[in-house]
Amino acid sequence: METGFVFPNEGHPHWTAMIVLYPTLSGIVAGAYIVACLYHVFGRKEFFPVYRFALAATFAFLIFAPLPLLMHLGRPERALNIMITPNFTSAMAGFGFVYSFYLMVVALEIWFSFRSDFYARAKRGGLLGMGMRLLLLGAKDDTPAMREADHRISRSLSYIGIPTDFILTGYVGFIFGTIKANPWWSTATMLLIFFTTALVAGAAMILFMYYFRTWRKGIAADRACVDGLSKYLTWFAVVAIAIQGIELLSVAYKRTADWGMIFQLITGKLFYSYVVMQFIVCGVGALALLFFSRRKLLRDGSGGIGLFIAALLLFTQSIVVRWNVVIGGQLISKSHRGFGSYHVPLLHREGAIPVLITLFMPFVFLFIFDRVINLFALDTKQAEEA
Amino acid sequence: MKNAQDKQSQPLLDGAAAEDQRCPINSVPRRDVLRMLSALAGSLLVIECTNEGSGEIPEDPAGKRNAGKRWGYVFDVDKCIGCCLCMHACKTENDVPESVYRTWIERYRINADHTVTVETPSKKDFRFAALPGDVIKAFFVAKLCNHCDNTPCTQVCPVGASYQTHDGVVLIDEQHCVGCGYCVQACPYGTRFLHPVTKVASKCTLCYHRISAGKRPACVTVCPTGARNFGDLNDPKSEVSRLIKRHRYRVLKPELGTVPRCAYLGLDTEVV
Amino acid sequence: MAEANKPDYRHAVRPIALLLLVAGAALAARTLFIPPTYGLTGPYRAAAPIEAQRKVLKFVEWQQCIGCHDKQRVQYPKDAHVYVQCEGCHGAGQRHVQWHTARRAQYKKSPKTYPKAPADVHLRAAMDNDFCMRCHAMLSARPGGHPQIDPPSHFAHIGMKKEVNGKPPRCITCHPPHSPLRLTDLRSAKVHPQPNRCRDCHAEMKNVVAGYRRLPQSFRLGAAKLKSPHKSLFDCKACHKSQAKRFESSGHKVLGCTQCHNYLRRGSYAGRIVRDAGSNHCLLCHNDNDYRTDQAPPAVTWPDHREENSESDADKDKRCIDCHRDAIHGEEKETEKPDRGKSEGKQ
Repeated sequence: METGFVFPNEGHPHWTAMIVLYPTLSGIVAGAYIVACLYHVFGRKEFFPVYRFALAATFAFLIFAPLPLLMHLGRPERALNIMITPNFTSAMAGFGFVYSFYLMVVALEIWFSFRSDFYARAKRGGLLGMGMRLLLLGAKDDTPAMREADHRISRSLSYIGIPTDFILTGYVGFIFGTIKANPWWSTATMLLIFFTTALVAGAAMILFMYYFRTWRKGIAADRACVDGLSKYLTWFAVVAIAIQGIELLSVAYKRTADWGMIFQLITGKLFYSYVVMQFIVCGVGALALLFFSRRKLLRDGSGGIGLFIAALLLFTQSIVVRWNVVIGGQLISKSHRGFGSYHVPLLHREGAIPVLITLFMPFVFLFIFDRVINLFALDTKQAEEA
Repeated sequence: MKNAQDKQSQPLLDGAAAEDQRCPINSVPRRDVLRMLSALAGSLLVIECTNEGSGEIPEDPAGKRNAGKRWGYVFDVDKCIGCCLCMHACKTENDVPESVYRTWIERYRINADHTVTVETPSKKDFRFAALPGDVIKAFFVAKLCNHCDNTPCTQVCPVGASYQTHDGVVLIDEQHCVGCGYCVQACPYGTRFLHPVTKVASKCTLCYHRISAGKRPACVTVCPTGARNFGDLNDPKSEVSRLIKRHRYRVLKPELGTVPRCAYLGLDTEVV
Repeated sequence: MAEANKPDYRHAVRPIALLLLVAGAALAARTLFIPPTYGLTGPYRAAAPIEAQRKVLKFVEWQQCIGCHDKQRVQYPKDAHVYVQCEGCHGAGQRHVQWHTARRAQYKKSPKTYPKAPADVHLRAAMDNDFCMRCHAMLSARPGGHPQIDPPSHFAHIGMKKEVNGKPPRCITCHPPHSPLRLTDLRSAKVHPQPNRCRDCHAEMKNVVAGYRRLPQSFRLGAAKLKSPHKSLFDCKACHKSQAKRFESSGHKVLGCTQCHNYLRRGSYAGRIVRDAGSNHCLLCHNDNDYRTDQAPPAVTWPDHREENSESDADKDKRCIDCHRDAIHGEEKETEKPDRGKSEGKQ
């Protein structure tokens, strides 16, 4: 229910669950891409077992990222207007170009990284083999010299990819952070909040998916890899949560005219999702769990369950952060005298079921991708490398 | 840059030509290919730089009359009696659906304990109920698009569907809007909304079809007390210029730098 | 570049070229989809504002109304509803005008056989009390000068029956909406009538009005003062008899009533006759300063004067009039009830 006075056009938020989902997906893209780059650009060899999955996840989440936006648009058939007649005073206008450019870079990187696997699959024939042959674009051999070229090109592409990735993820934060009409959004830290939680989301998703995969296959998780992943995840999460805390603290201490509304919001309608979920359960709680599980891991190699749960919680945190920003900001009426309300409908275009389906589509894509070529590094290769 | 690429690609193309005869590119001499490619890229660049559509602008029937005009709106708080005829008129004139409002009236009420209560009229009939309890003061305020000079909403429109006309009215191109809602978020006054039927952004147009025909906006036309005033701010003899000259006035949320062109006479500081 | 790992880049040309080609084609195709007239006058379709003008105007405005309804044309600019627009009460006139304009010749030929307009063309004609209450119901947020009533107490006040023939009284029975009586700009009209115009009382006396209108502007108010009944309306002591009598003995007599009891006007509506002005008002003349002559009224130093004469803390808030009431208004000759009426005041 609405409380206080709300402007008559503000009955319910205009940006809803789908707009929460988009930065979640693009955040996973950014985090996963950084993990992939840690291996093949920055030479962190311990990420070898998840490198291919991370890269594939980047691509999978990237191609599904615009879907929530299309689901949200009032006139999705006009979506391309954003590239046909971009109005460059708008922070949103460059989105189409940045996204397309990044998609091209990632697609090329995928092609060069998995070309050998496509070739191997193409040789096995069948309908899928024909498809793979088409994908190879006439490359009819797989020599070490070609693989070396693949490796070098994909690494060079990463040098373009990393800044583009930063821009694409920071983009959403910038859009929210520059809306001066909304006191809950209008802060420069919004960009950092979106970016750091993106890193957390990606790293956490890869960690728990790696655990999930090894559990399904009945093989032991690579300790160095898990150690590395959880270490980076800890750093990312500490920075992310610290920035969120600093943002709240500075707004609270400044006590501007907006603070009264914000205080009412976080102790009222947003108490559960902001204070309890974002800061206590999925924030400090998850961080503590991660910390203690890592100590167990370093001591005797156990603590996998703890790390898995902590990764899941931190992944949830990134979604909760976006929920609190997107929905929370719109609950504050522009009249500064009341709060709107929002409940996720089930079957609506932007309802809970379409959101969940959209969220799981990249995972389905990855599952199929994994069936075609093994995304988690093969155990034999891993042994060879070692 | 171009030269470096040229050099690097030389041995590659030679090798490719020798090995793969089916590649159609190889049947053309290498330099020609490069020349063609650069020409293509160059022409592409030229095309890209032109961001204009073709066609001629249809003749503006109101162009001559409204040249040099700068429309403004003045609301006199002391005169508004809260009859809400303006809300009815706006809905009629612009076929505004039930759940959204291009303009509305708010009743501010400063209670005896100095708390502030704000209400909008009943949704069905647009009427205010009698006030119970002790009141220090109470008054009505109309809200509508402020047609700001420094518009946050046209600034953020990613597709150029929201714009300001030469006479200063902020409008939305319904044929071109994608309905992203960015402008709805950017407007500090809550006057924009997504139209439930057309699914694009919509808001007060100052009855652009009326003012272009030399009439007043519908809300001004029906206002029985002259609380709503509309006119040309560039004309010193117009009613709005006269009101602004003679009275103290305020605009809404001036701290946001939107430079609204909707002035309020006798507005209390409680109004947001 | 190690010789053993010399990279072989040949296969890399095709995917990169393919992607660049796709991107280039997309960028080239992009320009084809730019809508006509986009960007010619700014980052928007130049035709859009002109298209926005092509909409049917549903409100036709009063100039159009009085073109046919010439009876109202005479009444319109004179009554208290001078700002009230025809379409504010009667609704948007576009369909009405369109339908009847098309049949104008028919009406002129034989008004008696003129067809009845269909329902959706009809404008709202009979105003029920509820409609009047949209503007005239008592709401404390409404400005002071605006006439507002609480219907039950209004009817009780003027001594009307609750119903006649089963029907409750209608506002428009006594207050014809096209020529309502305007009493005063003051909210307290019933206790402090200040007629503004002859028509307020002489609505039916066409000759009086016509004669008055023939007078030159400068004589109009004077004309109203000529005859005794009129004079009283502009003279305080005609009503405030006891105060006026008392005032005869006051030293302030030379000033007259309106020197202190200003009729404050702010905007066009809110008006107040100030009853008790604060001490600052008195101090305009009575404050001690260097420029005073012998003829000046008695001087005081303020607020020292008040403090010197204070006996308790409560006295420290006193205004001039609290002690010097008699000096200001004159001495009370007999016990009398002030017939000041309900003139509200705030300093």
